[in-house]
Order: sequence, then C-alpha cells, then structure tokens
Amino acid sequence: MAEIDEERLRRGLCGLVTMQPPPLDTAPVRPVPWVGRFALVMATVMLLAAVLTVALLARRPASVATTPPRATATVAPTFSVQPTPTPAVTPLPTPFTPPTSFLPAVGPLCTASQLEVRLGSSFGALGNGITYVIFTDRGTRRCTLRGTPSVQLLDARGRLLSTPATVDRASGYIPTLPNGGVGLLPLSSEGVAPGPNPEGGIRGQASLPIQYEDGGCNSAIASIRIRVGGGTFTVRATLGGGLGCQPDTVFISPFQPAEFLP
Amino acid sequence: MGQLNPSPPGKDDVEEAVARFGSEMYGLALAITANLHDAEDAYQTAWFDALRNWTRIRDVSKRRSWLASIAARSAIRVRRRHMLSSRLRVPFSEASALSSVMHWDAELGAAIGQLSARQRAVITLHYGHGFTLDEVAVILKLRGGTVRSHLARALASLRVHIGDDRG
Repeated sequence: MAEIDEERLRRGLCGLVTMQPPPLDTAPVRPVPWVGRFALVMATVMLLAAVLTVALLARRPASVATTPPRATATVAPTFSVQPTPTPAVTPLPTPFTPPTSFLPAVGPLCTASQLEVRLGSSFGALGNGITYVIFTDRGTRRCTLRGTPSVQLLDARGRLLSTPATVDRASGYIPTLPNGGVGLLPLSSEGVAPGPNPEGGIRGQASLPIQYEDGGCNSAIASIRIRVGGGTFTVRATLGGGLGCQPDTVFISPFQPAEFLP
Repeated sequence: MGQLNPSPPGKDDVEEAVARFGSEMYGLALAITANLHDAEDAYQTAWFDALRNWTRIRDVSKRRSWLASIAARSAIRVRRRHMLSSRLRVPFSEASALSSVMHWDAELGAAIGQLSARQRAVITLHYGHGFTLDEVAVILKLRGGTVRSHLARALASLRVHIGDDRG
C-alpha cells in the first residue's frame, strides 16, 4: 500500500476498539416499556384522529366528492365499500399556502377512491432491506393518511402468508418515526413521472415503509394487500432478492412523508 | 458501572464480560455507525440483546465473537434508523464523527468515515479485533469471498481518500 499500510490501520483501529465505553444504563434498557410506549403513541394518534374526524364531519357534513379509482399496472384496487359518486365536485373552501417542508397533516382522511398505490424504491444492505409502497392523491381534494394500515403478505395464488408486525419481535426495535399523519395534495399535472421533482406537480406523496431483515424474504411472497381508506389495494411485489426474507421478520411503520422517493 | 439488568445470567459473569469485551463492542459500534451518539445507542441495545439471550451461548470461548456479532447487528440497526431519520433532516454533529473520535489519526478516521458501513465493519473486525477473515464472515453472516471483496475495496478506497488528502 502506498499511503496506508496494515500496521497503521491496525494501530488506528486498535485505538478505536480499546476506547472506554459509556457506562451501561442502570435501569433495564427496555423493561416492558416499548409495549407501553407503543400503546401510548397509538392511543394518542387514535384520539387525535377521532377528534379531527369529528371536527371535520361537523364542518363538512356530506359534501365529499368521490371519483372512481384509477388502476395502475401494478395495483388492483377492490373496494369493500362502494363509493357513491356525487354529481358535483366540492371546491376547496379556502386557498391554502403550501408549506416549505412536508405538507401538514390536515384535511379529511384519504379515501381509497382517490388514492393511487404503487411500489416505490427498495434499498438493502447488510442483510436488511426496505421497500416503500407509495401513495399518491389522484382525487380532487387534499387529504391525510394517518396511522398504520392493515397489511397482508400473499403468495402467487393470493393466499395469506403472514401479517407483518409493527415491531421487530427479535430485538424489540420499533421501526417507527412518529408523526401526526401525512398530508397529500391532488396530483394536478398529468404525465409527470413521480420522483424527486416537486416543481413538476408532485406534492405530498406518502409511503408505507416495509422493512425486512436477515436472510432475505420468502420467495413465496408475490404481493402485498393493503387496506386503507375503506378500500383494499393489492400491489405485486417480491421483497428482497436472493434468498428472500422470512415473512415473520417483515415489519411495517406508520405512513411516512415520501415526496422525494421515486 | 451500574448494576446490569436483572438476574437470569449471573451478575459476576455478565460484569466480567462487560469489563472484558465492552471496549471492543463499543469500538465496533463506533466504527459501523461512524457517530458517537449512535454508537452509544447501539452499544446499550447490544448489551440488552446479549443479556436477553445470555444462556444461549454455552461455550464461553465463543462469547467474544457472539458479542461482536450482536454489536454489529445492533449498530447496523441503529445506522439504518439514522439513515431514515436523515431524510427528515436530523442535524448531524461533526464533533461526533469518526474523524474527531479517532484524534490519534484523524486522517485515517476521516478516510474510514468515507467507507460503507459493511466495509467499516470488516476492517474493524479484522484489523481492530484481530479476527480472521473467515471469522469475520461468520460474525457478519457473509460469505468469505464477500468479506474479502469488501476488505479489498475498503483498502483501495482508503488509499484513494488518504492519497487525495495529501495530493
């Protein structure tokens, strides 16, 4: 080696691995607490959602317009509740100022009829992987996605393989970035490819991060079924490559902002 | 050092392991996360995980590599969480970066900080802990060839970064 020899590396890294570690916490690191914290967060989110829903229903009794869902190549939406179209689209009551960062989570909850769902980017390293399912507002009004939807992993024949957890049971790690929901604006510019181009008309994408680890994913996983906004979407997807992940090591997070995710 | 979590494993046994392997586990977490705060988080979590499964490792001679494996996995998890947080613009303190931590060879620290987490894990386990490449492969659950490939790329990258700094 010209500038760096093994002896220098050994010296440098030996110094690193002989550093004084911080004292360990005297209290158990996670006694039971994550269960309590998770329950507390979920209860808070549900309470907020309930309050907001009540407030919104009080303000806008039954003027919600719905449009039929637009299918994409990868999404086959089916609805357990049929949307009832109304003749006129209710305009937004007042103009709003788009914030400089992510859209605030205000407005009614998104309905399945206004959502487009597709498979987004996947990343993987060191035996861990993450795949994002992207939600775009294709309706005519802004809406909010909150909480964690019901997700099922299916095989090629549509049979249920498993239901991903919201925590990594092996370690107790909760893959959650707490948030109050994700605001979406209707995608007004047709023909603009989704991606890191906020000027192109994409505002307020949401993502559902699906994480998996160690050993890759079960190759039997052929699609992901997601219940959101009163409808069910089925996205064709295989998680991970190579060996594939075990269904019981797949876990999901609440909706996250994803404006810059392709 | 405070009392460790409860009774299942013998307290003396655990405290001896902390005293013996704590520095190595912390150093490995530091190398992988390349950040003081994340390393402390990973170190705490690694010990918690180790204590939960303490009775699984009956062969004491394998305890060192077992703990290294737990520390590596924990650091990788923390790093992944950090990467997700970075998307939300969580500020990153320069003072906690590897180049500052390795003040005895800041140039080398900065160059190591440029490597991928997996490359950092491989060179730390090999050169810092003294594990053979085959042992590193077992600890990181990688193939031997993959570990060798990471090592070669890490060394090449270090040469470039250190060469650039001097050039």
